[in-house]
Amino acid sequence: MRNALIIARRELGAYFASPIAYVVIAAYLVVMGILFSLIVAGRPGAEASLRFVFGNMFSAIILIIVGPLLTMRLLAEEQRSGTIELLLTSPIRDWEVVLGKYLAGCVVFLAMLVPTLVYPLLIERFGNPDHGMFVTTYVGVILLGMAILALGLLTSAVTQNQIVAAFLGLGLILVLTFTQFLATVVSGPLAGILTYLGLFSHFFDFLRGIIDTRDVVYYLSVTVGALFLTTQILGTRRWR
Amino acid sequence: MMDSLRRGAPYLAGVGIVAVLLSIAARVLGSEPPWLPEALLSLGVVLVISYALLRPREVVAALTGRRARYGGNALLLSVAFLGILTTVNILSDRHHKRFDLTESKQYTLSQETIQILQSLERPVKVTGFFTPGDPRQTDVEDLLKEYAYHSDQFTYEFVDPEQRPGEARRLGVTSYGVLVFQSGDKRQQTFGLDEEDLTSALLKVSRDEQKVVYFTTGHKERNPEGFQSADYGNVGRILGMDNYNVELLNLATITDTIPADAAAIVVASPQVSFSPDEISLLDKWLEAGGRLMILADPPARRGEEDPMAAFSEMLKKWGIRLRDDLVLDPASAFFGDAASPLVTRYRFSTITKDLGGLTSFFPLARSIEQVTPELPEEDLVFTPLIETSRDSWGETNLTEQQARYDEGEDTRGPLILAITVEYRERGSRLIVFGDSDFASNAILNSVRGAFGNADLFRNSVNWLAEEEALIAIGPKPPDIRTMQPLTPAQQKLIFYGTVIFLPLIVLALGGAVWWERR
Repeated sequence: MRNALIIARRELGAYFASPIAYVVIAAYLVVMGILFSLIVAGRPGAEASLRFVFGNMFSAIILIIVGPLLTMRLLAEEQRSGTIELLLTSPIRDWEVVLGKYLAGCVVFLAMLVPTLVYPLLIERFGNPDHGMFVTTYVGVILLGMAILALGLLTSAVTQNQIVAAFLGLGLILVLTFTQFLATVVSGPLAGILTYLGLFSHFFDFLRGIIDTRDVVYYLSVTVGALFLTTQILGTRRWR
Repeated sequence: MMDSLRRGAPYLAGVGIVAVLLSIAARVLGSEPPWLPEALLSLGVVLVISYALLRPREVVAALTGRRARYGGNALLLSVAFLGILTTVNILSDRHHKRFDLTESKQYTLSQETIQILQSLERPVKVTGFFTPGDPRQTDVEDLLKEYAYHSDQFTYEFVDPEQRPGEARRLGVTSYGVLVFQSGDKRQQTFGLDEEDLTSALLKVSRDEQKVVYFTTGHKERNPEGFQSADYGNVGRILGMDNYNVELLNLATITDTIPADAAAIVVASPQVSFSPDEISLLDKWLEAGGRLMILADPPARRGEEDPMAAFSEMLKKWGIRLRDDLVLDPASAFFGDAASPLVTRYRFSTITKDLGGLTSFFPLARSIEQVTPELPEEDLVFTPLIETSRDSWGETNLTEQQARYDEGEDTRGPLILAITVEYRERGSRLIVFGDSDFASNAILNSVRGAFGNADLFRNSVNWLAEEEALIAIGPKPPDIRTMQPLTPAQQKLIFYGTVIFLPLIVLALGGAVWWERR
C-alpha cells in the first residue's frame, strides 16, 4: 500500500508539471460555469440546487470526455517508453502500480471539482438551497467520476498510444452509457439488466437528494472491477 | 487452394466472431426476419470451427502453450472476480436501502402509505401514460420508485400512448398524464400525481370491499342511472370507475337508520320537498359521522315553493344558508351567459388541488352563505371550494327585465358556490353545492374532459368517502427552494466569475508551474 502511495505521489507530480491537467480542469470549469450561469443564475425563480447543472446532458458529456483525458497517459505512456518493464520487474506488485496511478487520477479529479464548490456558495448567498441535496450531488458526482476514471485506466493499460487509450476509454464509457437507452427498445428482464448496467441510470437519485445503497454498490463495483481487470491485463505483459 | 484458404483463415475467424456478435445484437433488438439470429450464429460458429480445422497446430499450441496456461489463469481469475461482483450487485439490488438526505424529507413516504404498501397481498401494477419528455413523468417516477422500494408487490411502467395505442385502449385511457393502477381484475385511474392521490388509488384498487355511494330518490332528484340530459348517468359511471357501488336510496322506506355500508349519500337537487322525518334521519346520520353531499339549485320561479327550504333548519345547524338568488357574473361567464359563472381559480383544498388550469362552470347557480352554526363553532372546519369573481352578484329579483346589481337587495361577489364543513371529532363531512347542473349528463356530454366539472364532482365524492388513514396524509406542501431574483449586474458578475475568472486562475496556476520548471 505504501508503494501505491509513492507511485501516486510521483504520478501527481507528473500531472501538475504538464499542462494537460490545467487545460482539462479549465475547460471543465468553463463548461460547468456556463451551465451554472444559465441554469441557476440566469433564470429568475430557478431551483436553488445543482440538480440541473450536474444532471444536464452537457455536464454528462464533458465528464465522459474529461475522464479518459485524465487517465489516458497513466499506463499507455509507461508502455510506450518501456518504463513499465522497470515497474513490473521491481518488487512493487502490479495492483500497487494500478492503485497508485488510479489514486493520482482521482486526486486530479477532485482538484477539478473543488473550484465548482463556488456554485453551492453562490446558491447559498442568493437562494435557499437544501443542503442535503448538495451533499448527495457531490457524492454522486465523485462516485460516477471514480467509475469513469477506472474505466479510462483500464483502456490505458491495453495500448501504448495515449490517443488510442482515450478513444477506447470514451468508447467503453459510451457503451456503458447507452445500455440504458437500449433498454427502452427491449422488454422483459433484459430491459431491467440493461438499465441496471447504465452508468447514468444510477446517477439521478443522488442529484435529487437520495442515496441508494444499490447505486453506491454499482459504482464501486464498476470501479473495483475495472481496476482488477487493469491489474490482470498489466500482468499479461510478463508472458506475452 | 488449401494454402490460400489457410492463409485466409484468420479473416474467416474474424468474420465468424462478427457474425456471432451480430446475431446477439439481432436477438436483443428483435430482428426481422425471425430466423436471422440463428442463421448468423450458425454461420459464425461454422467459420470459427473452420479456422480451427484449417490451422489445427496453432490451435493446439494456443491451448497447451505457456501463454495459454498464464492466459487461462488470468481469464479464470477475471471471470471469477466479475462473477463475484455480479453476485454482490444482484444481492444489493434485492436488498437495498434508500436514504433521503433532503432537509424536508421530500421523498420520504408517509407512514400511512408505507403501511398500505407493506400490507399489499396481491400484485399491483401501475401503468403511466405520458407523452415523452413530459416533466410530470420524472416527478411521478421519483414517487413511484419510493413506492416500489417499500413493496415487492408494487411495480410500474410508463407507456407512450402513441407508440402503444392498444395498451391505452385496453385500459380505457383517453388522455395523457394519467396513471392506471391494476390489481386482479380491478382498475383505478388517477390524474392527480402526488402521494395522496397515488395512495388513494392504491388503496381503492387493492381493497376488496366496495364502497357504496347512495343517491337519494323519491323527490325527483337527478338519477345516477338515468340517461336523460338532466340525469346523472355520467356521474354514476365515473364513480363506478373509481370502484364505488352507486345505489339508490329511498329514505321513506327506511324505518330506523341509514344503511351501514353508506360511504356517502348524495342529495342531488330534489324538486319535491323532503319530509321532516327524512331530513332528521339524514341529519342524525351526518352528525354521527356521516358523509353527505347536497346539490341545491335556485328556486325555478319567484313565489314557487323552494324544495330546498326544507333543509334550511338542518343546514343552519351546520353553519350554512342557501340564499334565494341566482348568481350572475357577466365578467366571467360560460360563452357570455351571465347565469353560468365560470371559475378558473379555486380555493386550495384536497378536492380542488388538482383542478388547477381546468375551468368549471355552474349554469343557474345559487350562492351559499356561511352563518353562525348551532353546533360548536370551534369544532367545525369550513372550506369554501368555489368562489365567483368580484364582478358577480346574487340577483334576487328575477322578474325584472334588466338584471342588474341592486344595492341593499342583492349580494356582491365573490360569492361562494360550494363549501365543505367538517366535524373532525366525529368524522362528519358535509359538502354543499349551490348548483347541480354542472354535473348533469347534458353538461358533461357537451364539454367532455375539457372542463373541470366532472373531476370536481368525483373529487368531492372521494373526499367524502375517504378513509381516515388517507386523510391524514394530506397534500404535502411543496418544498419550494428557489433563487432570489438577481440584478443584471449580479448575473454578469456570476457569469464572468464562473465562466472566465475561475478557469483563468487554474490556467495561471499551470502557467506559473511551467515558468518555474523552465
